[in-house]
Amino acid sequence: MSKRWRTGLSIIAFIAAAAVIYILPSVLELFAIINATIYVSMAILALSLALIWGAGGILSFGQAAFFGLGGYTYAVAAINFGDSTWAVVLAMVVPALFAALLGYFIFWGRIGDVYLGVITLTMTLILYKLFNATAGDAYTIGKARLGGFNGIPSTPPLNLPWDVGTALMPEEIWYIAAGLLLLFYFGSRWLLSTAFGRVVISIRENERRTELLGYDVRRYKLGIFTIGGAMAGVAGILFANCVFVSPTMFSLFYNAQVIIWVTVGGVGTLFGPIVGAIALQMLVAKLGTMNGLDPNVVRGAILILFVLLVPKGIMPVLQSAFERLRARSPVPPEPAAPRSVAPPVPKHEAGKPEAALTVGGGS
Amino acid sequence: MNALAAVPVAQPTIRKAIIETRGLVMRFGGVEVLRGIDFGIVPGELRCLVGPNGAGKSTFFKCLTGQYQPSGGDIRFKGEQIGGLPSVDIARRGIGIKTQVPSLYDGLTAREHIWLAVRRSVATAGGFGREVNAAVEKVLETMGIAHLADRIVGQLAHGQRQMVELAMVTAAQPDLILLDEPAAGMTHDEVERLAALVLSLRGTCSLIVVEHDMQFIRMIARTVTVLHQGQVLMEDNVETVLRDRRVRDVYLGKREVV
Amino acid sequence: MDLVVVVILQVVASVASLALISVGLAVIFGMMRVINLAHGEFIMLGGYAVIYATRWGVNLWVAMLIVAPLFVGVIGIVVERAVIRFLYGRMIDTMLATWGLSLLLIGAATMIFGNTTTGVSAPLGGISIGQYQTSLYELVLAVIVALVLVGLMVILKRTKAGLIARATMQNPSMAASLGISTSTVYSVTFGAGAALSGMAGALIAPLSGVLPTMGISYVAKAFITVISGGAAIISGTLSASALLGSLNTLATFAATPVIGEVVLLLTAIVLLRILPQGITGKYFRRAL
Repeated sequence: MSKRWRTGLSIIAFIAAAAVIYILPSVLELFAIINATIYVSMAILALSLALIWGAGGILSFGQAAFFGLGGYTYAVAAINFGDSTWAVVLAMVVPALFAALLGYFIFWGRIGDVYLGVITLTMTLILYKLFNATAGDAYTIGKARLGGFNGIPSTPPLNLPWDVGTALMPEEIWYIAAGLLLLFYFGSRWLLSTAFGRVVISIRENERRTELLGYDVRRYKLGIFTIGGAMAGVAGILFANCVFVSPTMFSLFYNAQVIIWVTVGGVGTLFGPIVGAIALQMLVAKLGTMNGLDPNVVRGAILILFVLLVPKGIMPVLQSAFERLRARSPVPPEPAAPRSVAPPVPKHEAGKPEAALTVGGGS
Repeated sequence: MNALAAVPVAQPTIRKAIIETRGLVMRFGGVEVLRGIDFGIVPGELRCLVGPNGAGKSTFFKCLTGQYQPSGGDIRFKGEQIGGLPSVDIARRGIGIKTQVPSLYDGLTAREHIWLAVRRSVATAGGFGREVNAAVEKVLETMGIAHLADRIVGQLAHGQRQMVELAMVTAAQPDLILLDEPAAGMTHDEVERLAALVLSLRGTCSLIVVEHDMQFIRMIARTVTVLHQGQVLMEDNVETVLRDRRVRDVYLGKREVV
Repeated sequence: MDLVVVVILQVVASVASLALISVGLAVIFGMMRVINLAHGEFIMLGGYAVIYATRWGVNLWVAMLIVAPLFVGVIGIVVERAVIRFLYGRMIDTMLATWGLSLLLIGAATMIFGNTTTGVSAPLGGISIGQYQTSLYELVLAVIVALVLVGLMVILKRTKAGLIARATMQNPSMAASLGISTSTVYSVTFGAGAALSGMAGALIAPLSGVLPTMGISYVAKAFITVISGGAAIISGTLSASALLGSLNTLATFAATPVIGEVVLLLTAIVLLRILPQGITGKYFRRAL
């Protein structure tokens, strides 16, 4: 059954990913490692939108709001505490709380589609304007100067928990970032296979129906929105460690990028957006160094082409190609016609439909 | 009102009725779609609701399930006022609906549909994963859709989709089930199976069935309520209703008259 | 007293400029249910059209009111034929595709024009009210915006083309069966919306300068104004601009321009929370 294939593939993918993560620092130069860490933080940001949009059906145009809030919270807290431990915790809590507040406002107001897009986008713009206007000494939080348009140039790096003396090296931050990406990816898959996750997916498929079955859809949407907010906050922390925090983190540019990655990778999948984020950043970086081509031209063209030609994104297309390939092989394919005998699944697994929920549900 | 009194089984009193409406009015802009509906059924009853297009049947269902907020009148379910409550709350109190256009999750499998319904009722009763899964398999068996369990519902035939939706609605174990044209688009065999299923539900819960298919109504109904232009035209035994001249006028000759 | 006059004039100017930058988006959204996220770049292109036209010796007013709308209108028609027409009925996909277009145009403009602000000087000079100075051009702008809105109303309500357009938007299949070429109507409508955006860019170029990324600061505001206004094109744009523009200006006078912007955005959010269908979703439902 395709479930076993999927599990097998996941294990292979996991081992391959772990190997790449482990080897990378020994083959790359320092600058490339930092770049790779940025890519990974972006992949986490993409994954956070994949959860909210792909699984929950909530198209937020303001995912960068949580990303920026995470970065700023981390920077301000780390500067004030001198220790990054609580800064990391806060940098997840603040965006999550913000997401919860915004989500309460949106979902309890029954705001959907375009209107939801406008409100999330507006919220990000407000933050962008506010943080841009924080130049000057008046805008300091404790010891941290917010610095207006320039942001906070000297963001302290992560240190070992409660051990201020040992600031982490870029290689170590790379391991943490890549490890977190793996953790979040498998965590998200697990989340979507839980009862909570399945209800969230059912809301994406048919909100009215879920409501008529007696589920309070607002709570589930709020839940996934908040989780996505916290995850975007983590992406912000990692970004702050590699670059520094500035109001551009809230800009339309990042909002657009995340949406492009998820669209290209495949809305409704979790793996696709990660691939989309990393591949597109590499592509844009490559083209940018080659011939003075403006990277925005590349991004824009990619987004248009994908919406027109591959609206489902890369992953679903690859998956169905793979399924077709397997169907041609001598291994007995999945039944095309309904069968009256019990399906060849172990009984205890029969009631666990996560395969179709996490991946097949996207089609 | 007079017709109502003529039917002893259906005589609703606040004490007895599982659901009861008094003077239910629904207006859209200047159009009054429901014009004061007095209706009620007793627990365990199976009632058919008929009427020509535009009589207000689906609107009536939408008021009962909270998808519309009634403009006036009372809706009582198990003695409690539910008119105007959000649909989640009404669903939780025990009203399930199969809508006219099948409302399903096209990207999910049939088993997942049933799981969503079962989980609500079992988890509310304090049950856990294993019990839910067992209950899901049981529903799939008894509703005769076990062979469809792993199919994506978006790819099923219309009649099969109807069955999945019906199974999902019953799996949530509501006290009152509303079925809006459940036989539409089904083959003759499927209609017969559906009728058997509906009859088997009678007694365990109360049902209101909206249907155009008179054959199907004959198979399942005892008491039939006729809606016309947003009002109860008559309410009586199925044969009496089908013989009634007014009903025939409404359905055939004078159907087009406003 | 003078201050009051100045504040009132500022409010009028601010409402007018909000209506100006929104009306093109409103036409496209109101008529076609398409959210055009490349709207800001149409504005930007209108600005460049004016700069290049005047450099080549075209009269400024001609450049602003004729050359820029024509140029951007043609671009709009090309975009509609090449991209948008494949995506009707897929609102989210249209938003994504036009967002892609927006990035593409920003990138292309950066490559062609460079990432610097260019400008034309504002015509007409200033007028003084007591001790205060205000630009006459901004007031003329308000008059032009009023004329544009009235003109739009007349075209939609009183002309054959307007009737055909409205009929197509209401019921495309019925219009098609009456022999109307709906795809032409869509093209022309999109082109008209683009032309209005181009004119907006041309008219604000003397005030703000022109920059490849200038669209970003307008698209969000226009988007917010249109959605807050709701489905009705003219009354929606007007009512939302009036509300948001005046609050913006008053808050700017009371505090800082940043606070003014924030008040504008917060008002829009609260407005959508109270009236999820926008102002005209609740009031003047049948208006245009």
